[in-house]
Amino acid sequence: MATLTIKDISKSFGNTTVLQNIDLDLADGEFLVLVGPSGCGKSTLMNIVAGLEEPSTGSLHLDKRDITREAPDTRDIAMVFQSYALYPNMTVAENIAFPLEMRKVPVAQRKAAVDEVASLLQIGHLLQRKPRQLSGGQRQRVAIGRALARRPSLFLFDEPLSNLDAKLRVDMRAELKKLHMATGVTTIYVTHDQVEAMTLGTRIAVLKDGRIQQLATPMELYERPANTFVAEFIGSPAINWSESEVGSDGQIYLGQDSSGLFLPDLAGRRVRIGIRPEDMVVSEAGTLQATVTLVEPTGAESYVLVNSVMGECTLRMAGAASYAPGDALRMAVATHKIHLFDAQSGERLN
Amino acid sequence: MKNRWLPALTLTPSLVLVGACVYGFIAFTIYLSFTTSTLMPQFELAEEIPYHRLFRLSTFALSAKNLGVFSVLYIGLSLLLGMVMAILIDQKIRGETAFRSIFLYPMALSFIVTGTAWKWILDPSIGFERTVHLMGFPDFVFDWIKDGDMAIYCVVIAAVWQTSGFVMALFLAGLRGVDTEVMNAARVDGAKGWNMYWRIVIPQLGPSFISSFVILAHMAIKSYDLVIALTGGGPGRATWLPSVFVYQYTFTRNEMALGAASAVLMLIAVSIVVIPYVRSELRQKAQS
Amino acid sequence: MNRSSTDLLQRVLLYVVLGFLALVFLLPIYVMVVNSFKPLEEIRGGNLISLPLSATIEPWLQAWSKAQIGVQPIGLRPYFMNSFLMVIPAVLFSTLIGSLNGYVLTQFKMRGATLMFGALLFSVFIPFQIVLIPMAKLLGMLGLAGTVKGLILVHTVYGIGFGTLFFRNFYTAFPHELVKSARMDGAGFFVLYWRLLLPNSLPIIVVNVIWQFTNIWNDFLFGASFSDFSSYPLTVALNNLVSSSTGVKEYNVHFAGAFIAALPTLAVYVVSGKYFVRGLMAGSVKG
Repeated sequence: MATLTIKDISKSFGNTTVLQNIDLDLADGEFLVLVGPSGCGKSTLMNIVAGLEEPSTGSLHLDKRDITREAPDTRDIAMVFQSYALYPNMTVAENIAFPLEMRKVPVAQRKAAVDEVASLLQIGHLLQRKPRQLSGGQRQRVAIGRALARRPSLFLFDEPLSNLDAKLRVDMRAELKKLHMATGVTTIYVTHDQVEAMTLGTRIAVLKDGRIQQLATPMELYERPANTFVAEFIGSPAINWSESEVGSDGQIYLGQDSSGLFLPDLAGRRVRIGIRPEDMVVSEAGTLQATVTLVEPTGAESYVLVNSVMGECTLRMAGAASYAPGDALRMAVATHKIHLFDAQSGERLN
Repeated sequence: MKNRWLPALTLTPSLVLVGACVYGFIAFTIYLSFTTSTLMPQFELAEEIPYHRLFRLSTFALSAKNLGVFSVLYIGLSLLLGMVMAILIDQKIRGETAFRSIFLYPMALSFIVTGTAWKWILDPSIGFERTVHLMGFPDFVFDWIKDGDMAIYCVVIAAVWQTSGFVMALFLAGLRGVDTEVMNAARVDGAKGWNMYWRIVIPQLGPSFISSFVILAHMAIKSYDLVIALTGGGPGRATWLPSVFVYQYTFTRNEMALGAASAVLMLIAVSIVVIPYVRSELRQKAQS
Repeated sequence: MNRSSTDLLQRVLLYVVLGFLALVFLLPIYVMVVNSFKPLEEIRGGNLISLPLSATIEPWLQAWSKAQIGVQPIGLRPYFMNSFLMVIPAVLFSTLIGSLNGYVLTQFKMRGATLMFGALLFSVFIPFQIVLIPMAKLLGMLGLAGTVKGLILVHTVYGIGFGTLFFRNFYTAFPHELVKSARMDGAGFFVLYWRLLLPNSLPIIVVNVIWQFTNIWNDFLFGASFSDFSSYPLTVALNNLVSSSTGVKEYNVHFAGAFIAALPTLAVYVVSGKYFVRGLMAGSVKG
């Protein structure tokens, strides 16, 4: 259990800057998710926190202790890798005990720790096997067990579910969340999957091009994205976009009708309007006209692609949609559900 | 249709040539090793099996003993030195390509060239011993190459020099094949320096060890050129190996049956080492 | 922390050890070159590692064209030529045969393909002493005893194993889709080989050429067994030069001669670098 303070961390390799001015404060027991597209710097940040790489500038404090230049093994941090990184020449029991062995923990205590972890993760029957004899899911549990056995102050997970198949991924997600609730260890979790981020994190940091785009709770990210990138990245199906201009009267129009948004100070500014699929509602009283191009049923919901004055949009509705391509319908949007961004900078305006 | 036979037809010359010139000849020589052949091949089977005579010969016993001493030292030192060099080079050093080239170039040389160079370096009258004398240490002695008991170690020195670069190349490839994430995990778990190599990296080098061992062992058994160039088999017969024995007894002493017998024994020794290796290679390739 | 000062010490030690090893490895070649330029008295009077005081190229001239090795004092030159005449055809044949074998073994279903490949592969490992007598008989019967042509035959036959190994492993990794699509386009047996596989085999051809060239050039056993004084390859001639027990030992000439013998394969090594290493590794490393 510990607090982690990441202050002004930057990392450059020669002329390429991979991380810029990263500031993060983790409370004790928090589950922070780092999410972002490939190349956004999340893995580099993880490696810096773990001590596998050194930052170009900035500092790291674990429970008020400066660990910026410390070797990986003295930081009291455990890491679970994407490929699990199990030692192929050792049995599962030896793998789990290895970090304890490196710390010269006596044999009896090591065995007790291994057994405890094995029962928690239900891998007791695998203790004498070698990694190559295990399935993907089993290997992942062993990797988690190896990290748990050390009782570290901080857990780092580097895309641990990426190599699992879809169903196993969903099951393991829930298991990880339960594990965190049981152990309460401060955790940083890296993923490129926004669904994982939303379901697992107490807070989420969205990264792009080495910068934090937004740091907030999952719902905040969803309901009030700070810029167009976050709005697009979080939410599936993705948010619907349209370009417009703030009228001379400060009004913003969706097609012919006013959106209800009024920004007199920004007259003439080009803006991007974002509306989430579930916020575009089919209604007879709606002012937006649209023609259906495609219907995608997924069972519990349907996604309906339409062409409208806003361009191509996706609507989300419950159950089976009784539309066919070519049908005309009318949509309405609640004003407070509209996300408004500056067209150039992408920053949120409302 | 002619096309169906074409593949087999294409392969036939090679199969015939290798079948005859390798396996057929082996059979021929095996047969000869039971005959009365002396100067020329005879096809009459000998009363006393030549192998019995062979095992009574002190020259053969000496050759076999030399092979034992030589193999153990040659293989052991080459493996050790090769692995050490690979680990050193793996440390992200500058000029890695240069160092690798320097350690590996002896493999491009003929054993005759190597033998010639080392012959004079190890010679007491103009080589190492003399150089140290001239540097001011007149009592220094290094005349192994002239000493019947020690000459075989000179062959070891030259042979290790020639092939440890090859072992290094094999181990380096093995080292670089170790998953970086596994090494990162070990760093986080607290493995450092020697521990890292001993517990994590080296245990994964099994395949490199096996490949190196097989190649080195078969080269040791076949060693001939180096001995001839370095010591000529001498002083006297002190550095005779079974390969030298075969040549001497077949062509110089006109005891072809004995020569054939010892060649067959060499083949058996090589087979013991190589056949399991070839079989596992084939099984592996067949799977991929 | 003292992490950086112990690290620095370790790095320095690392380079010292590597430097020392490099010197040891370079010593023989250095000795060879340096002493090949010294007059004989200097070698006998001085030590092996000092640079020449009165450098001379006479030992080189001796080695190349004046030393008596066989019947006449014509130096190593004719034997250098013998080696070339022997190596070039042998390498060509072995590449051709090896590539055809590799092609057939990988692109066609054949019963016993693995066994045949195994037999060819094993032939590489045998101690060649065991084929000396029957091969000598065969060469005698063919009228090729003691000739360069005979050596070409010998090296070609015993090079089939390695050649097949290289090409077979290479063609195993050749994209199946390309071959299938060429077949569907109507490519027949030789067209597939000549127009599709062979043109795309340059890396392995280079590896095979380098490997066979080095092995055949450096061979001694077959040369000593199957040649006579007119057809000695260079290695045999060099050994004769160096091992003569009569007369004055002209160390400088020996060194010059050894270097001449080493030059072609060293040059190939320096130029080909990674291809040389690939040849060493092919078939050696598992997986």
